Amino acid sequence: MTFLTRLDDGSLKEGAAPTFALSQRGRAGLEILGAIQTFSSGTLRPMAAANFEENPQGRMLGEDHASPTPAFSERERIAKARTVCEGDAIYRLERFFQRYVAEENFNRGIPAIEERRAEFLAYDAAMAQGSDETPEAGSLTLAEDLAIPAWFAPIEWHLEPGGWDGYDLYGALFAFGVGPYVFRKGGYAAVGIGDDIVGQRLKTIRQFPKDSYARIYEPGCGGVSTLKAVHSVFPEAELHGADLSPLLLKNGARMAARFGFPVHLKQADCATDTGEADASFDGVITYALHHELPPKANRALFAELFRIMKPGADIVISDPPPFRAVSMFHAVILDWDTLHREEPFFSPVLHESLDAMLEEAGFEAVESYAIGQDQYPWITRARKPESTAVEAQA
Amino acid sequence: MNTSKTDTGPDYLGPESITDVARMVMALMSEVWIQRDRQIVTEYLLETQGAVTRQEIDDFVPTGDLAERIAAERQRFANLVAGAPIAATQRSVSQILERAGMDVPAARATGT
Repeated sequence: MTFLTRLDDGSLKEGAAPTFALSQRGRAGLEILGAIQTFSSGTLRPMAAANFEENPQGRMLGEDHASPTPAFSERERIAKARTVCEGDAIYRLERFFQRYVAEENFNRGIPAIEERRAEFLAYDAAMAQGSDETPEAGSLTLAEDLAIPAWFAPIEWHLEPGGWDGYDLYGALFAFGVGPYVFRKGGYAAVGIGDDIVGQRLKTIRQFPKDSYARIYEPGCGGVSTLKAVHSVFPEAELHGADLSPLLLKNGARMAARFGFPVHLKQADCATDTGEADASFDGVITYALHHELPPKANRALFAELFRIMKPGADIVISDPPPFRAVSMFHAVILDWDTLHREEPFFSPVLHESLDAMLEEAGFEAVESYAIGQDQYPWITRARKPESTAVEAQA
Repeated sequence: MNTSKTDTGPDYLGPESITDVARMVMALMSEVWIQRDRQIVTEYLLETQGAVTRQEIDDFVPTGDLAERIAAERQRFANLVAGAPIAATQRSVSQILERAGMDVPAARATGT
């Protein structure tokens, strides 16, 4: 699940319409949030990590966490380590700043974009007129009668009021406010301080093992930021995406048309039915998706993806690292998001193994590894066997 | 309401309100920064244009050297305000200079 890509990034064609911008107040108010987050994750968090390592109980838990035969379960270790962390005033201050910035992204961001509503709509219309896109090459299929899963509907992801569909200008808010002024600094959730989240996406796409793909599918595609990266690496591929959110899909369809690459988008609950044919895709990409689904829905999703993939097709996944892959202190930091940044399935999924889920679904050649700092992005990739057991018997 | 008597009078908020007070401080910090940014933008437009309207200030987006200068000033401002609690203990010369957004001369850094 990804946010809308900035409309006027460097890949826009020559002669594109002038850049839309927030007011001085809107811009400066969000920029100071980015600076607070940079100080929090860049200065305070390393201090808190050092304090944890110097604490005898913290050191013991860290050793247990790294042991192949730990004395405590993962959940017990994290609970004990959290208690150690919460005894440190620097840790509490750092977490307060993280929560404060996460709240203010919307408390401050929504008024900042609302103040510029008329200007944004005019800019958006000018961009649409000025582009030479061929929207007929792509498609958008919404399903008004789609049954939204009970686990999805009430959640205000990342403290976003009303959830993904809670405000019609969320796309613009992320593209022109929170994205460039706060998120681009890194240092939140699993994203390391100073990390380039656009570059991370491209690096992830390059983990596909083959040189070309005819048809690629992305469940939870959101605003097509990842499919845009897929298009830049595999321009020959026919792209398909699905999501539960109609607002994200509408934004995604507009962005894809504007950037000049065709995508076929569909509103669907991919964990139950993608609506796609058996054995019809050569590749599947998922980006920052699985920690937003309960483990049971992830297992169902992998079974459905297995069904629609051709024999020999590849799946590449980027999601936060499992707890077992990070330090004891960093496990506490990741676990914090579950309760404090409205990520109800973050910890349940990080306790699990996506590798094991993929193998349960029938995939082979399953492997996982990190391609960035603090083990993020964490890549998991696998392949659908050339012939399944059922086919082999037939 | 907790109104237990203290040396300085009734304690209206109580210790559980410290996070609320911190939120108020952070809100004020942001308002001060927004004004500081506006001042920098206004000075820049006056220097480069000689006159400026409110609308021009509202619509101005810093780029290039000015954007870099504002970013450095903003980070220094955030470090000093958000880092005030650690300034009580992180008091070496290099730590003080780093918080102030200044280079740490090698000769001074050895005095940490």
